Amino acid sequence: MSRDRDRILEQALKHELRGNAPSAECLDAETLAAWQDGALDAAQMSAAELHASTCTRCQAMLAAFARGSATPAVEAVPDADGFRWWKWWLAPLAAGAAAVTLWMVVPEEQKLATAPPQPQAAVAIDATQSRAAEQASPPLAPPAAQNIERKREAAEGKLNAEAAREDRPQFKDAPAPKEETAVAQMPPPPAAVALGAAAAPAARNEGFAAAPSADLQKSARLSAASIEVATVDRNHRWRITGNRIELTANAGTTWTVVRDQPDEGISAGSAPTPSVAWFVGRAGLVLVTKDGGASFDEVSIAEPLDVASVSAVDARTASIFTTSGRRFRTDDGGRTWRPF
Amino acid sequence: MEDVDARRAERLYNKAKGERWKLPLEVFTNALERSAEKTFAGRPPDESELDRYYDSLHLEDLALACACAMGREDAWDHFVREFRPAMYRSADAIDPGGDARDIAEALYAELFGLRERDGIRQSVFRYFHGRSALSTWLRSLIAQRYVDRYRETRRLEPLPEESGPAPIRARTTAIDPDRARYLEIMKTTLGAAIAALSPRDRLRLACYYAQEMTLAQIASVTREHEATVSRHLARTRQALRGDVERRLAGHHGFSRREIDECFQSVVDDAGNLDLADWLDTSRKKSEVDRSLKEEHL
Repeated sequence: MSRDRDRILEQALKHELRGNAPSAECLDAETLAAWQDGALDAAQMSAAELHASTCTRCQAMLAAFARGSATPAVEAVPDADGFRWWKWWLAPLAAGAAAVTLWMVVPEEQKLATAPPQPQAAVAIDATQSRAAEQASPPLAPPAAQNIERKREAAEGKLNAEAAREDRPQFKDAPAPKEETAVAQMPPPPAAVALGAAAAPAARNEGFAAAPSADLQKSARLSAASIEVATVDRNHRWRITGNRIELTANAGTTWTVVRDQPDEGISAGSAPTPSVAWFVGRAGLVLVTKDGGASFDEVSIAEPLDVASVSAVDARTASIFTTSGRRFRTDDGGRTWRPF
Repeated sequence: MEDVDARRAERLYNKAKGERWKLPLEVFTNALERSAEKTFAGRPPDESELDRYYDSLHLEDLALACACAMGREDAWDHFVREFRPAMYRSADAIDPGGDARDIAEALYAELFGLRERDGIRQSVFRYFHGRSALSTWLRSLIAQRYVDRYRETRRLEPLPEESGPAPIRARTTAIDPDRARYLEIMKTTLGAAIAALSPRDRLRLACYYAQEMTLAQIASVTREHEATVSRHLARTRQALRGDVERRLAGHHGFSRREIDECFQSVVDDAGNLDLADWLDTSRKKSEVDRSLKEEHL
């Protein structure tokens, strides 16, 4: 009965704690942000906790904020004036080298034949299987991390036994105590996508994962150099992989290659609407499509500068940033560019 | 609140790199004063405290916010490049179904200051005071608006129609007349026991049971280690149970059997789920078993 009482108490807590009504003293967004960044002094912190402990609205905001903060840490693109172009080119090469190295060290029985290269014509790529395989097989952890993982699992087992002896309850997602620091220092999950106008090159290539299956290896090689560009419509996304531009209209279930020109070296994109997208790349390359990828206009800048990022407002207005720190803007769809 | 003196303002302006956006010093100074006014409302700080406060601000973010509020194109370009993607990512993380994304988009428009009052551009940036990072403030705004919209939606949902689901079958067994009394006493006692907890203990419980936050998320709120959160939750829950049992035995003179009846009464009562359980309707149910796992009692 004692155990039953605990379970009953937990159920009762869910209802009781959700019944607290919000008050006029609810935390505003600025205070909530200051709280999360540790900018409240002791008195302010106490007042905030006191209020939030009895206010479902503020508790819900804390919960939503915590969820909203659980995004992959993406390194912000440094200011154009200090941008190091050589890192930009080096990152994809390094990721590719790492991909080859890890593929080679995978045990022999896990190596499978690689898929043939994609034909140049537009094809629909079924990402479902590879995505499912990706999710089924977690990234191959480096040896040090694997050791830490084994230690953590052992510690968890030991912890549960100790707690049992000490008559302490265990929470489902409680961490193992001794290895927490080591676990916490493990690298965050790979950043699978980079949204928006410009994502850091280093972050774009964190998505690599060596895998035993051919599909997963292909997917891993894709994600090592792929950049996704989101639009306001979550079903429509663009994907840049080297020279290839792909488009999905069903949230990534299938992808259609809309452009694949050799040596373009596309580096970034910006898609203010599902049908309008700008892409930039090597030697001043600027492309714009106004019909969802059915056709592209090349509106490159005259100077052969490698373009690192683009920020577009619509089909006529966009700003680009070169690796040398120069910025250009167009208000006429790329017909003319002016530095700023 | 005293005005920021010129030398201090200039020092902070330089630290904020306000010149990068051609931000007028006066505008930045006003922002500093508003920030201090909000933080120290009702308790004027001394000079050293004020200095420490100003130096603790995210000055570059504050300068950027001021410049964006003024409509400075280069500042806005920078904001779009650096912060807009993160806004969308945050919205997608808050609601993977995408319902928060339009909130981020609407916020983006408000930040730009599409509204004008008396000919002056009104931007939400004026509410940023630099206490937190700009990115944190943006996430906080999205979270707040998401929660408020959800609550408003729940409040406006129509009541179920009369011709809806079939009526609930009546109980075949007689209702214990004492059950309602035990339930009422149990709820009152539990409420009193929860109210007697420290705010932080209560907040941890609410975050875990009512908001179904993970230990890591709670740790970020209380600025503790996950293990500490886990330990405190376990201790609080045990203390709560003990307090409830003591109150039932002491204040109400209940026997062990009657205390069991009180606990059992909560099982039979579904509670006011429609009114209080507003979090669950459009969100996926948590798959995490929130019950405690006890090896021995």
